[in-house]
Amino acid sequence: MEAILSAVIRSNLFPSLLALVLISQSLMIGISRADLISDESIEELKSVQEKVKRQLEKSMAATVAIVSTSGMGTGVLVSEDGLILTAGHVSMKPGQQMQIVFADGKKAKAETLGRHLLSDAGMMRIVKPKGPLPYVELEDDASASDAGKWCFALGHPGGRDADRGIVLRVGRVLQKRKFKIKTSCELMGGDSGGPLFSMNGKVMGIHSFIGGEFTDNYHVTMDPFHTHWDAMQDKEVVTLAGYGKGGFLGVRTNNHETGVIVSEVVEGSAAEDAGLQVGDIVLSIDGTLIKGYLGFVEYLRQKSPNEVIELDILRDEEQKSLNVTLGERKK
Amino acid sequence: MTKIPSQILSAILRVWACCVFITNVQAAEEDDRKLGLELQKLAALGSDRVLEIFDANQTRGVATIVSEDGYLIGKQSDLAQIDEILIRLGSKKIPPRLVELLPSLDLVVIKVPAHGLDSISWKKEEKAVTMGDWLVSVGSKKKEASLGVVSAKTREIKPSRAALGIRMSTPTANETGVGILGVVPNSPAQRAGLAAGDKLLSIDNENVASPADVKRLITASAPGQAIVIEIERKGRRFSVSASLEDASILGNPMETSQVLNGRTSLRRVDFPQVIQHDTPLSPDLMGGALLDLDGNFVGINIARVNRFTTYALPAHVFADAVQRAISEDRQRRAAARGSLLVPIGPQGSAKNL
Repeated sequence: MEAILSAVIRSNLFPSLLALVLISQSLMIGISRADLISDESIEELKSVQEKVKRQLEKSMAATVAIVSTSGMGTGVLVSEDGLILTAGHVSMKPGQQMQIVFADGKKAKAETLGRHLLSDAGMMRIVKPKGPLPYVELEDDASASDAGKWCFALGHPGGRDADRGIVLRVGRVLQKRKFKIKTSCELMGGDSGGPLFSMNGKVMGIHSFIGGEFTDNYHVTMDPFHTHWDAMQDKEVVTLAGYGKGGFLGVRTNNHETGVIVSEVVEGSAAEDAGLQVGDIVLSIDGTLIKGYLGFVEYLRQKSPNEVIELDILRDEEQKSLNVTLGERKK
Repeated sequence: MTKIPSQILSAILRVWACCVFITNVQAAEEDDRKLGLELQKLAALGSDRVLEIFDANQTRGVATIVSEDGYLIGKQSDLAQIDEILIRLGSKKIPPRLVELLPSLDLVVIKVPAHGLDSISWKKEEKAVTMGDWLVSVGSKKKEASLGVVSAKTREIKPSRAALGIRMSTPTANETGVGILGVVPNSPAQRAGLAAGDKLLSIDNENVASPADVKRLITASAPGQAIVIEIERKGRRFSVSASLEDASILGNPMETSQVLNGRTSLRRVDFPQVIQHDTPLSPDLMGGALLDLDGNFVGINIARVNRFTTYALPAHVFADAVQRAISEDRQRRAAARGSLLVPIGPQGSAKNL
């Protein structure tokens, strides 16, 4: 799963990209054509136009091309001292040198920092910047990226082209998940790592991968950046097993249409002590509905050993509630 | 007053067209951004200014009405692909008359006998559109339109070199043809079925004796153009057709992927100036008018380039050339009729007589 999610929009990754298209369609429900039929008024469009144009100069100044040995990508400056958010599949291994090209053609050197494999979030930092750099803020209003909201994307699709410059796309959010935003801003290889902006001109996504439909454009949400901000700045590669506080339930699960289904219970684990059985369908944790295996794991990762969680389960068509005291994850 | 049969029109266009290419490809249906009610009125206004082009029973493209008496403009290299061009006018389908070819703009001016058509209006003082401005691309009689924004700098698109995607060996004396050492993955050569070990004998019936011959013939062609290659494989000779590609994207799996880009236009380069916008459009809608949100005529869509790019010619780029062509055509027609009653064109054509 990690490999799949970190593969992505890059010119030389077509086979993995196709695989990813298939996976992405099985994980997310596609949007129907009808959902795209909008009834915006000309007044609304003019207001969107005005907002985008007002933000354009500043947001373009903070958007940079990233040149590495394996290809070209995009990134966005989020601090005046040179911190860049990008895609994990652009920054790749921490501690590498990459070249940065600003919108005006000026160049700088950057060093790659950490990444979050599950979401494709990545970071890098400009080495010894000369004076304060242009930057944009992160969107702190979660509702700015709700489905239906207007947004705009910047990047270097197909790689940097000095005559053409940075390319703008304006669209709408079609879907939002914990780690992924789907929009109608058409992306292409080279856009990877570029910024998706809210109408406030703040970064709310990082371009990650595409599929065959023009509406299959996916961006990493700000969530993994916020959660793993310090770890990524410390050049950590955050893997699924490697983060969280270490609270351990002790089950293997698969996706189920109403949550996750238990496929294995680890001997001597908290799950066994609480009486979880193979075939149980876990509907919710602590009253929060589970959206698939990833959401289930993500929730558990935030829990510490000895914390008590409440699971709503379905066994033999009967709903039950179980309190589980989490154990400790073995290193 | 001889009427040029539309087959001849098509033949003339074909001679002039920079990219001759045969396409028969199905792409995933584009998810155009459809418009709401209020915008549909605007789109309908635009659609009235666009006529459909037919090939027998099939809709093949659009042309934009530039005068009330039936002068139209369309994308030349696309119309050149159509065997018999018909224009839908009300309930009738009429073969148009060729007025003027403007190959440097990839435009053609044609004429249908009509009066009182709803023409686009040329703006006297054009306000240039800039990045972030909404644009409305009008469709055909379905009164559909799509929405996008100006997405990059308005600029010149230089011509590009055509490429086939083969590596060749230097032939030894007495050897006929040119050996193929390797084929670039995802290139026109690979799609045409060429393989290492094949021997290239001729291109478009012209024999080749050295890699230089091959290079000369290929670079003399335009990207998108189809060439016929005669090869020898295991003692057998046969011919294949290959559509040459823009050398700058040769073998690039994402840029050449039809899955990701949908259908694109044959001629996508060599324009004096284009407005780049992000509207996902079918290449069949090239030649259609582009409006701003106030319904002003901005230009003509001229090339569907890739997943995120459509090019349009700004009106000021072709206004003079098109108006001159129309004016001269009116003069010629009037002279042929021997009439003193000359319609006064926008350039004041009457005073020239």
